[in-house]
Amino acid sequence: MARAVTTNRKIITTAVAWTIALILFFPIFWTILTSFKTEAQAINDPPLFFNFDWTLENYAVVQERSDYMKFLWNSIIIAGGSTILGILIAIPAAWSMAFVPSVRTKDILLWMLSTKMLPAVGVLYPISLIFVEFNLLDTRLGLIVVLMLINLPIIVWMLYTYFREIPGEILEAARMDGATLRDEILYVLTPMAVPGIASTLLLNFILAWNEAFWTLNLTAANAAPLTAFIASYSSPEGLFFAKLSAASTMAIAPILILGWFSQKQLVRGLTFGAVK
Amino acid sequence: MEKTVNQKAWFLVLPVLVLVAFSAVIPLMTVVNYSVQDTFGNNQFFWAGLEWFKEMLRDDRMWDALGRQLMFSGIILLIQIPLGVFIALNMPKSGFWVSFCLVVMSLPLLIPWNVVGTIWQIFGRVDIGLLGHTLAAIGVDYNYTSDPFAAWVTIIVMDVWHWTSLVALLAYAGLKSIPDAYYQAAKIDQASRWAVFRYIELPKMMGVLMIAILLRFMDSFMIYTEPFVVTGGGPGSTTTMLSIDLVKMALGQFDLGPAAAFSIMYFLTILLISWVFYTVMTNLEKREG
Repeated sequence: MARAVTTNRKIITTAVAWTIALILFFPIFWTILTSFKTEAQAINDPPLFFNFDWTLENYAVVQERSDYMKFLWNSIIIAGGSTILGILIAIPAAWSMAFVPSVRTKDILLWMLSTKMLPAVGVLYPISLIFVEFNLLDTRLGLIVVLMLINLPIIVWMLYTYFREIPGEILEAARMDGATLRDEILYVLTPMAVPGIASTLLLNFILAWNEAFWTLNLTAANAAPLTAFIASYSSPEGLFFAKLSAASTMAIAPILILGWFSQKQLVRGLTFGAVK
Repeated sequence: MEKTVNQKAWFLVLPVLVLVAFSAVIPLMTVVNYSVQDTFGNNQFFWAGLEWFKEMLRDDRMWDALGRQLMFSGIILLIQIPLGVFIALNMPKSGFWVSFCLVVMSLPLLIPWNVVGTIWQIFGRVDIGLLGHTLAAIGVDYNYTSDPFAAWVTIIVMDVWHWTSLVALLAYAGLKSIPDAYYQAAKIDQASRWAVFRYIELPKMMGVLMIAILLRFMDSFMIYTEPFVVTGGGPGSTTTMLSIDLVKMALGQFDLGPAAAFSIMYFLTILLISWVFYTVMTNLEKREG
């Protein structure tokens, strides 16, 4: 009896999981599918599933019009640079907040988060002026710094939460054995916090990769990442759905591929974490 | 001994504090500066005192937008947080399916935000979109460009689609950090599934859930790109959120003074609500131990 109930439960859970997976994937699938249609087929009524002439024409047109690799490279540098820089700055801070807490720790965390609450539009003008002043407009360095500053509070907060789960006794033991602060962070804390650091890294890389306000407003031709690549297709020619879909697919593809590999990394981190 | 450790610790926090302060104070100062001045162009500014703030507070348009914004964020939190936790609880904890689940889950998160709007705009169109078309075929009167209710449903479904995974991933990471011993102890005590959730999983997830709630609240309260792409704030002004209003003011009309005053009040509202969330959650966490 108990066994039958468990089997039923399993079937229901699996069905729900597949439905959710399908719902999550479908809009993306539809976009990818549309990118292989001609413009006429893309707006066909009723919508076409697989019964159309597959074509790569849209990709050829998009590639011809804008240099995809340059946008891709900018995205990688900006998202990667800001995330790594942010993590390096945040690890020591999160360490001291988690293991040497003071009465002010909680307030500081909230205050840091509060800096993210000023609406971006409201500060666009002052930030642009600063960028002009320091010649940072349309440079990758400028965007790395801005996105790092935007995500820093989240990085610190996430790392702090994960670090706090690590038993402090292990650090005390390391200290008893004569570990310096550097050893403690480098050889004890970091390996133990790999799952937390990995998921922080992944999430913030994605956040930086997809950020579509600052990347659009502070770049022109040189430092424009993939978000700008898509925007150039969505605004002036909103009615060319097949080309827009092709550009979207090209913009999503690299992060989907990277996501696949880093997910494995992440899963490994999550499963073999020393936190257990 | 204790003392040296503490001093070193503060030394480590300092770089972050300086950076955050730098990134917070300079824009804020500029915005405050604009909010109390008026200009006729040519970079000549006049003292306007609290005039812009008074004008904004008298403006019905802003109050309406605030109401819509609060409703939007409220619905988003009520759907996404329980749904995300539910998904995380039902995810497999080991084996091949873990990576499959995580990859599928993170799919929507990987899409740039301006593309999310575009995808749903196409997907929901009655003439060419699969969703709109299917709904029309089964007899549902759905048209997000003319029906406010349909427009609301569209942007909420879109946001749930886009962000629930983040909540689920955070909750999942929180769950993974629970030592097996806890579950074994619960098993020995013959604790029910609900009791395990209520007394082991939920308290252990509190920390990450707080991040999830605050992040989702702030992002949904400042949402701009997605509804703007899909509905443009319409039909009428039924989906005009605060940020869409602000952009119209700051970039459309170049009213820097009112826009700055608006930004500050916007900021204070978010700060106040986040502070309430934070205080309540921290107290809960303390009580749970």
